[in-house]
Amino acid sequence: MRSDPIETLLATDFAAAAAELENDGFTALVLERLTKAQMTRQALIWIAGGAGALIAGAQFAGMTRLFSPLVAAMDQTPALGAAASNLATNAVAPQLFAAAAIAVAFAATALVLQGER
Amino acid sequence: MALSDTDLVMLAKAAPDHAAFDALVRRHQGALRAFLRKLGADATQADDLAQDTLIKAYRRLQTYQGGASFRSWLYAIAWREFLQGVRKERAAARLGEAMAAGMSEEAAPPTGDFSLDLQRALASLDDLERASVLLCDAVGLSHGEASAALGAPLGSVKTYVARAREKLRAFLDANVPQADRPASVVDFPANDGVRHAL
Repeated sequence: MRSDPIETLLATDFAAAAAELENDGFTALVLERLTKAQMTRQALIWIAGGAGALIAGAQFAGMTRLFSPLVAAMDQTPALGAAASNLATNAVAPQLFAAAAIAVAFAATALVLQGER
Repeated sequence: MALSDTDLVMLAKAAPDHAAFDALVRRHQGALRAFLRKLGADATQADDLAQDTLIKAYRRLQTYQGGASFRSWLYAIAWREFLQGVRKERAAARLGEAMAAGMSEEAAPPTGDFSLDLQRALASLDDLERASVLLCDAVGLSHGEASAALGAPLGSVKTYVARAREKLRAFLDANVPQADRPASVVDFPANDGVRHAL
């Protein structure tokens, strides 16, 4: 219950001003801007995630070369010989690891996007 | 039965689409824009500030814990947007002059002469008095909600509201003939029976 005439006056005047603004398309503008902003953010996250994945994958060829002496040593160990030989000779490991790194990066990006509003 | 603000916020947090937030925007945008206009922003500025407020509210929705009412939380964002946006411009002069004169045609809602007089009366208040009296008497927040929205102590908000009412009463008594006032508010009895000069 409003007891002060000034309070009544303000409430009445404000209600009239707000009612004039109810159905003038403003809501659609806000939602359009919200959608555009969200799409832009998602695109930027995908681009950043993709670039990160490619860079991470590209590092594995060099990294595996660093490990080649270790692989050679493993080759001399009977228990590990078969696996080490497979890694060293089939040249599958670097690509496999690179693919795994890219997959992890993309999965992380997808997780970020899932939380993105 | 319409969902409450709290229900819509919970849905908006949980759902990946905008449907629940759409409903919140539709429910509050008119009052939010009117509040910003009454604070002193012109129509374009008020709409820009309201858009920024709603976008920020959407992005920060996960941080809304429900301790304060959604309206109080929303108007707190709007108040900060107003302070950051319009006040800077006013300090730079253009809007400041219009506010000081209380004669900005853009700031006056097109609802008639008395409404213009009321806008001029509001412009004669300082920012916190104007925001406090608008939030409590026009928007309909409690003193506590207005206190949370403005980031001001509860006692100060009560003082701002009381002082603003007295100033508005004095301004309208001094500037608006009885014949030009709405029938429901022809008389503005001051609490102490004394007419207050501006």
